[in-house]
Amino acid sequence: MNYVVLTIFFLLSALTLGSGIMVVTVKNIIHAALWLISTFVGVAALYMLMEAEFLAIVQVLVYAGAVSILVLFAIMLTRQITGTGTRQLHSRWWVAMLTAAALFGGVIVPTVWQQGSSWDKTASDAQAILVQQATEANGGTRPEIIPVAGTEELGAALMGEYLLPFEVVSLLLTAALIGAILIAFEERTRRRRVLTLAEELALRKRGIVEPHDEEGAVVPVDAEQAV
Amino acid sequence: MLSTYAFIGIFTVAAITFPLLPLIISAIIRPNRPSEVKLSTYECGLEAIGEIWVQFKVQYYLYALAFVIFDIETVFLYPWAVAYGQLGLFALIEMGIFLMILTVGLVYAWKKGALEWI
Amino acid sequence: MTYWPVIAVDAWIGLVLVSIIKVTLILVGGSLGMMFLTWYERRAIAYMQDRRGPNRVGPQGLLQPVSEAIKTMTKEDITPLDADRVVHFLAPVVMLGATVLAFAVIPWGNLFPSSLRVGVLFIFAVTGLHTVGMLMAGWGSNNKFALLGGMRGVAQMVSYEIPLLMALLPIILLSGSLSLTDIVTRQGDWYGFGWYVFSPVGLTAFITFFIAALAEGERTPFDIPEADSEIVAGYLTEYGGMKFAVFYLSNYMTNLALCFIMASLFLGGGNGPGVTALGTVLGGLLSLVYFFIKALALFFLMVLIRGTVPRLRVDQLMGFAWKFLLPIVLVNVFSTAIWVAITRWGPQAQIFTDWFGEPASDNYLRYGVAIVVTLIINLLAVYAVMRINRRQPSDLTEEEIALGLAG
Repeated sequence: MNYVVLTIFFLLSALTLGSGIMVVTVKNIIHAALWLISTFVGVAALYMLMEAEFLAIVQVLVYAGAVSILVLFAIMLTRQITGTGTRQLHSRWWVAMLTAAALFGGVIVPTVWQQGSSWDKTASDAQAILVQQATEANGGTRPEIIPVAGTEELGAALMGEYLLPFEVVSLLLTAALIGAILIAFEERTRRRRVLTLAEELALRKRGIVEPHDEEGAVVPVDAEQAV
Repeated sequence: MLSTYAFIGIFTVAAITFPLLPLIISAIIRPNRPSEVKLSTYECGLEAIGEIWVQFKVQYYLYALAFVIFDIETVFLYPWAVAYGQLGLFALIEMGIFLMILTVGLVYAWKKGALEWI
Repeated sequence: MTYWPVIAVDAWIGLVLVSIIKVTLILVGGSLGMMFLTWYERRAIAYMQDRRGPNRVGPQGLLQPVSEAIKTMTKEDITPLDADRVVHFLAPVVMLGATVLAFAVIPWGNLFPSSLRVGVLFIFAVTGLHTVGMLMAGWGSNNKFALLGGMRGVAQMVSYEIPLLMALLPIILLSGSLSLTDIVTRQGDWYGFGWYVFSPVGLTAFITFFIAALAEGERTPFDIPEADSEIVAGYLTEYGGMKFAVFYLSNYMTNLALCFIMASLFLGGGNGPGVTALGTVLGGLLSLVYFFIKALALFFLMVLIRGTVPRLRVDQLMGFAWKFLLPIVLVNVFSTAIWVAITRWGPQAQIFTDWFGEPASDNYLRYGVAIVVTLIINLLAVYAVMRINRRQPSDLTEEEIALGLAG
């Protein structure tokens, strides 16, 4: 048995779980977001240990680098909500706990059930099993493309077996973008129309002075009046 | 293969130590004479008024959202790009459709003025 | 029962020793390179502005960075009372740590080859953590200028990261690999001149990547996070002494890494005439020389731009990323796919073989057709994007102005 890798595994798991616990326990919401990033990085390191390098990189690129920024910007969008007075738990926290436990069980039990005999295998063992399964499914000859192992196989799988999910993802992403813009702009029109910097410049270039109030601040044009 | 990851792991430890080292050395040798004025928040010589946490505009969030969406799209494009040499015309067309659908999102955001900075 | 592949303990020790030596070499080399860059930039920009620049400390002022390191080391460190001490301290560590990590997979010429198969993505994943460090610095300082600068900086970084990542895709399409070492090796054809920049798609990718890299490295036309006339020093406002120096170090390390990456991806890394002919040792040294010359030329280009172009307005900056770079880069991905199809596809597209003959590196007909087709597509794309953007700068209609004045 290899104690070095095992030690690294336990260290990384401790980092990931510890940060996860910090996320839900710290009072300061920005600190919680920062701990969340630490959790993401820990998970990426665990993926790396499992030799799933593309997944590890994507975990850092998308979660630690992009989603975390989205979360932090969303926090900044709100008024100040940090404070020691903020309550950490809802009064029906046990419902949430039961749901979480049920979901976790729902994932882990079938996995252990099905993979129970092979869960002490290494990544290269797993690949050998995949090759064997694919060969059997192909009627004895080794097929050209073996299911997901590296980036290249992933690309080939996306273009073959998982084509429909792949295209649906693009629809989903577009829908998310359009939906967010709609919501954000509904909010904005309800407040007031503010000239963009470019519009202000265009006005100034045409020699039209912007409307000012007594203190010299630019008075924004009301959107409802414009409608 | 594991040796590559071991190298990356050791490099990560080194990368964390690298900035800490000069900070620690400097903490030992530098003088430390704090005063109230020195430690006050910089605001061009004026007293700072109010909290720093002003409510930021929605524009920041929209950019971050567009970033996440295009980031995920790019992540999908990378495996395709690696495998593309072995694939055929089908892959080209499929990726064309994928990009088309996402371009619709970009065009919508553009038309709607979501990419405009105010 | 084995959980993981068994490696004997002495093998581990050997592995760790070799890694530590390699890490030390790379870090020392990186720091020296960064110190040289700071001196080089100041001297170069001084000559562009008809000054002389630092020339007193050491020969030609070469020891100037050393004296500055000593100065910042011995300066008092100020953490404002209102600041979040831990976040304030960790921000520079995150920034520099993320930058340094990128060097783990960058080959220096033919030296330090990396066997990580997803090297290119690794670099951009870890440097993507910059944004986190920036927000930590902005928020942790508890200063309005700092938070504004941090938010602006992050908005800029995320906007330009998309063109940056997408501009890389053509190179991945051309090489079929995500490993920087592989990508460099595959540019060794044609007497060491098979660089990817020598094709219409590669050139477009290079230009777009270079612009986005300027923004990622906070170089001058895109240094909004530190626009001192608007927000003092941005997220750096409350930093002084060694912490500031660490940010500075991180900034130049990023620029060094970006120059190395661009030299490797587009300009053939250590490839050049004579590298393969001279064998492993001499050829390796020659490749290192070629590599540094290319990286330094790229850095000179960055300095030249700093010396000539004024800072962009913040809305122009964001608009440029989303409305100009992104469409061009998207089209370029597509035209690269076409380039690969025309130059490489044999059995997948029989029709190309019928028209232009078998795909081979000396089938000039295929390359000629590919150059013409992709050049036309890219030029059309640039023209279209420029036209749309010229009409676009959201000029108000007469009605809207009237309404605006009335309101």
